[in-house]
Parts: sequence; structure tokens; C-alpha cells
Amino acid sequence: MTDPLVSRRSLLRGALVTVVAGAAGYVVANRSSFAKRPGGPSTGYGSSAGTSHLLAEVDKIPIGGGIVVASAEVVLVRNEQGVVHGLSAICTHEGCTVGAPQDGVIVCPCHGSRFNAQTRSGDQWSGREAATHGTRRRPGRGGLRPMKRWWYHAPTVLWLAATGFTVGALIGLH
Amino acid sequence: MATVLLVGAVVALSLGLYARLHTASHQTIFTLGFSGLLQMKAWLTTAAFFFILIQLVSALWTWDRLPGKPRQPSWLGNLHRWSGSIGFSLTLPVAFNCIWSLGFVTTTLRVLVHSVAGCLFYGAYAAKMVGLRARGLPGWALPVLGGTVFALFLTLWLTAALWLFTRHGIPLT
Repeated sequence: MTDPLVSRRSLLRGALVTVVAGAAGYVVANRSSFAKRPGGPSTGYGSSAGTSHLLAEVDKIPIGGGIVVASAEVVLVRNEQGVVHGLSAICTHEGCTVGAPQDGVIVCPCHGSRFNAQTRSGDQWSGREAATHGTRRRPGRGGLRPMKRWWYHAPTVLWLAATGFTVGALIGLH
Repeated sequence: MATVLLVGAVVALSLGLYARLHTASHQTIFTLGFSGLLQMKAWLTTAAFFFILIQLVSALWTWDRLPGKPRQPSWLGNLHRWSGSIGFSLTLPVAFNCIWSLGFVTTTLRVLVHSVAGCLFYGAYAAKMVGLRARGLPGWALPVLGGTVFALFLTLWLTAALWLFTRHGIPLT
């Protein structure tokens, strides 16, 4: 049995990036003035009631901070310009649900992993645990082998996130 | 190989069906500073065209098909990945507006060809991306998939951006 070309972990990460960007696109589009409002004309695409997929009221997200939507496993962060982005609330270390950002830092309650809350679409986790547990090296056959550097993966993350955002926005407009 | 083509077909079909069934809103949602929806689409596609030309050259280089077979620098793969990703991402706002504001239109040959090519382009791109990560593909599969993506993009550009530029003169924004 050979190594799969795409590991389950990479696949999950790719899916995560796409879904998180999709959630962000959905939120942005759904809050825009172009989104179909409840009580508007029937779209033929199911209910247009906007609240059924609502993650949070944007006004409830503090500027420069964020909130955890535990049911959706998403952290919604809002930057100084008021733009909202969605990040996964699942810690990359052991999978705990992280806390709300404090002073721009998301801290995981389980083992203290720290993540930068202003990272735009959840593709650039940074912090102590992520840095020491395998972003640089991962075990492979014959011992440790270096990971491909970030600029190898970044283009994939870029187009996956852009695609997710676009599809999320299309859904969000309904 | 079957899976790769299946993924492409599913993507192309779902885009086409969605664009056909969704009632085009004819709203201009964003123009990113351009003078209008069509102008934005035309210029973003033209910018993507630039990156996709880099794609063509770097792909030919990777497969040793450039005249003189120049040595392949270590950054060639990254050039191909980055130019492709940026070019593709530039097409997304265009496609978003195509689908949301204009829809799948069959009224003239030009827009029919453009609509069909648009759906097929994303199908071909999806197939290429899966194909890159699939095992056991025949050696010609990736060049053929990549060539298909390029040809479809060229069709899209010719039937929209070039049409707009030749019809009204080149709008600067």
C-alpha cells in the first residue's frame, strides 16, 4: 500500500478552508443589501427566511474581537474595519473548541494553544502548539521529513478559499 | 480517470443547472472600481488571461516542450502553481456575476457559446485539480486536461472580453 497522494489530514484541511471561506462568503453576502429578505418574492429555491442559517448578528460581534458560535464550530472575528471573517473553532492541536479572542489572540482552553484572530480566512494558523507540533516537520517513513513550505500550499489554499467564498456568497444571497 | 472526469462533469452540470434555473437578478452587486459590470468582467478576465499565458508557458517548460528545452529552474513549479491560483481566483468574481446577475443565456450564438464554455471551464478545472492528486492516470491526462482548461478560457475571453473591447472601444476602467 503506497502513501496516498493526499493525506486525510490535507484533505480535511482543504475542506476546512473551503467551508470556512464559504461560511464567511455566506455571512457577507447574506448581510448585504442584495440578499433576498424574508417576506420577499418566493425564489423557487426553498425558504428565503434569513434567520434559519444565521450564525450571529453582526452587531453582536465586537469590533476588533470576536465570538464563538459553538453550534457551528466557528469563530466569527470582526476586524477594525468591521469586516467579519469565519475561522474554525476547532483547535488544530487536539480538537477542543477554542475560546473567544482576547486582545487579538484566540486561546484554546485545553492546552493553551494560541492563534492569531486577525488571520483572515482560517488558513494561517499560528501559535505555539501549531508551531511545535508539525507545521515544520511531520513523521514519515524513514523518520522525519521536511514539510513542503508554505508557498507550496498557499496557492491551493487561495483558490479553495476563493471558491468557497464565492459559492458561500451565492448561497448567502438567497 | 473515470472519477476525475466524473468530478468535472458534476461541477460543470451543477453550475449550468444553477445558472439556468436561477432567475438572473440583473443587479450590479459590485464593480471593484470599474465603470460597470461588463467592464469589470472583461478586465478581470483579461488579467486572468495574462496569468493563464504564464500557465501555458510554464506547463510547456515543465514538459520540455519549449524550443531549445531550457533548463528547468527550481521555482518553475511554484510559478505554475501561483500563476494558476491567482488567475483562477480572478475568474471567480467574474463567474459570480455571470451566474448571479446574468444567468445561462441562449439568445445568441455568442452568449450560448460563452455560457456553455463557462460551465465547462470550471468542470475542466475541477477535473485538472483532482487529476493532479490522483494516482494511475495515463501520462497524457494532465496535459490534455490542462490544455482543455486553457482552450475553454480562451473561448471565454474571445466571446466576452474581446467582444466588448471591439464593440465599444477599450474602456480604460
